[in-house]
Amino acid sequence: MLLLLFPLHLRSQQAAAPVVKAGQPCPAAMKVPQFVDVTAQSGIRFHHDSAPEKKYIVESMSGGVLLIDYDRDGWPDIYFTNATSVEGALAGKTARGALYHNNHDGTFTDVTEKAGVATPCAFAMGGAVGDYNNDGWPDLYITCLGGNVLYRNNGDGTFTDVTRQAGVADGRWSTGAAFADYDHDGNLDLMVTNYVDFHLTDLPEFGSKPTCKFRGLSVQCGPRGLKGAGDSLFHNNGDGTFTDVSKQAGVSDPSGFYGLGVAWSDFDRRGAQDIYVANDSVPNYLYRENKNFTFTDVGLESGTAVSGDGLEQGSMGVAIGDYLHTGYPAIFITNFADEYNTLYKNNGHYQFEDVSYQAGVALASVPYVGWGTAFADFDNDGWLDLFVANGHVYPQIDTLPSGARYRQPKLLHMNQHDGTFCDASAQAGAALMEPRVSRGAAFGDLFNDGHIDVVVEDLDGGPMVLRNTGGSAGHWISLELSSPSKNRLAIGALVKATAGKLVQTEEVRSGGSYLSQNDLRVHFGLGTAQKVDEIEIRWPSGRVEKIAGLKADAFYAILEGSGVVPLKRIQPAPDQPPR
Amino acid sequence: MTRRLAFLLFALTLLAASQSKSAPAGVLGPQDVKDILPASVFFQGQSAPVQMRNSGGVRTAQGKLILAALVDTSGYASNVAEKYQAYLLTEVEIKIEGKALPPGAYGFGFVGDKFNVMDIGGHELLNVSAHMDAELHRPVPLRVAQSGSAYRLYFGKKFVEFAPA
Repeated sequence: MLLLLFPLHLRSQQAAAPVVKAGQPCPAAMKVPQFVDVTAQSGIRFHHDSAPEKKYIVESMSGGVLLIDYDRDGWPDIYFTNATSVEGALAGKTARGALYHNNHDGTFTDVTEKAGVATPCAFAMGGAVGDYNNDGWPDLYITCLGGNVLYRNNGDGTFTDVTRQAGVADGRWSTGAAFADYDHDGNLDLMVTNYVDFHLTDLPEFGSKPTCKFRGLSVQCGPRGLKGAGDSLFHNNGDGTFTDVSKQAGVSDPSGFYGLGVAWSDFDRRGAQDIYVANDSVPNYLYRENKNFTFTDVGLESGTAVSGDGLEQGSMGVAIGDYLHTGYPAIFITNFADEYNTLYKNNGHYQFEDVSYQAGVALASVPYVGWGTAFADFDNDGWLDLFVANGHVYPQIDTLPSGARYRQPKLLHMNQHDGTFCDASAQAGAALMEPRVSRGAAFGDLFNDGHIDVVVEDLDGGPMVLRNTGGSAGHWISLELSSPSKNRLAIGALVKATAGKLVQTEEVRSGGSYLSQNDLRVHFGLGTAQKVDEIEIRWPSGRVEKIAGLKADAFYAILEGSGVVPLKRIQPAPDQPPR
Repeated sequence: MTRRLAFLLFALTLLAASQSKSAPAGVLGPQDVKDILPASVFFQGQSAPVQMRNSGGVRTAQGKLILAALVDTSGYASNVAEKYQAYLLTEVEIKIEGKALPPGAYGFGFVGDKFNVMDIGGHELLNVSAHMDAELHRPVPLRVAQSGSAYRLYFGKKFVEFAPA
């Protein structure tokens, strides 16, 4: 084990902040970060095209949003996926996704056509960002119904569809995707989850079967009652092509579970890349890497397949984070209404514990269908908070006299430094309370002001760019990692930041949330600390590097083997041809 | 030669039959019951799929079956889905927490701290208190386990005890 694990310091590390009972509204004295809807000012005019009636399940599941710094200027840009209606698809229509360039002044410019990423397919779901060809330019993988698309970043503001050459189309109804270098050969591999076996030529008719009913109402069919689809692991051959190794690797999902969110993480800090798959309505998978580049599902044994009470949940999104400062990352899963979002505390050695209710993140989530989510330190106090985007799948439920509504507010859980969270959803600005039909959510510092912002994609309307205007005056640090020749975005790197008694860990992670991609930069809140005593990085290559004495409130570029470098040094040359 | 072949076939048939009858008594898991349970089951006006992965049962010493499986009840109205979670098939009379239930097909559910068994018309036939096994490690949606000379039907951490009468 390269990184030493450390004991729980919890509240003793921080000046005592007021604490309320887990799950209660946050204390008035807490400086809750304020999220302001700046979509209108941002110039983003994207609109999701799905059919308002949602008569088919494929019309309910899109909405992944990806942060991709495609021009490597140090400012996150945004890609929104889009999906048409079944009727539209049958008429040969596609749906226009959109890439927005960050203008560094709070506004964005639609560069979709120039970039060549407008219409990957009729039903684009989500995707992931990774540099599959090691040229330093982040590439874009979009999941679709009927064939995914890999866009190679040409480094000049344009992308080229290289799916056919690469061999990563899959062809089923793909949803989640995430890159990682699980075999440590320096080339990013790709895990893709698939949902149900769905064909436009054989449509499950609205309300036609018992599994197309909800509380007695006719609704879209599925996923229950529909055949599932297996998952795919594509091994990167290092020459621009991939090989589907799902079966030999043990992650093909022969049970045909309904896969959605997916994330890689080194859950036991062994220097291995494990996989977590959130499955809808069936048990989730935790694939432990066997140290021979095959995987074993330890979901049930680890306690992460079902809830702590042993019940299967309708899982959608996945967040991973070391919210307790134990060194081991916890797993947070968003679930269907009348269940609850599940927080699995990581006790080490692949043993997890459902602490959702004790931690105070369960009860508030029960009325909602949860989707995009992340652990992030929204108030820069050095402790990871939780955000959840919600929205039901059946518009028809609004005809019921009571119960969950179709449009739903968002949830913000603030970390109280003692293993519990308070509920700040109603204290973080009016935007979070606005009911929406939200799906994907991506998290990152859009405005490079040291605060983690959120971009949420909604169905039946436009997205929401939520600018975090701060709350506390906590210090922070942001790290952009790069390796010199292989896995140049350093996906899978593990970073430990020590600032006084605050010791935090985070990974550079592709994919995650609900079919979305977060900012690849690693952000640490530092509380009152004005510098980071030590940054320890375990690079994907295995090299461990330590950097001492970084001042707070700054962005740093770190090149493997060279320490802190000017940002320019980790940026690929503009005229460097794609490999 | 023909008589020898006929004798061999007869012997093989007898062997297969005896193996079928002598399937071991005891607890059955999803793999044991997947070819026995129907794919969907009728209850209160409609049919719904059985969750084979969440099934189990018991084969008695006499070779009789008692089978249980969760059902996808999302299509039912809320008031039905609240009480109907799973299906029970029994070839023999059983006692659940001491109360007798004759052979038949039933719906059942754990509601709060109660365990209800209903006929396929949704009429309650049996209502007993359920138990909570707080110490159960890694509970699963449905499982049958041996408990001394009886059995436990688990729904997560909740359970009732039953045994052939």
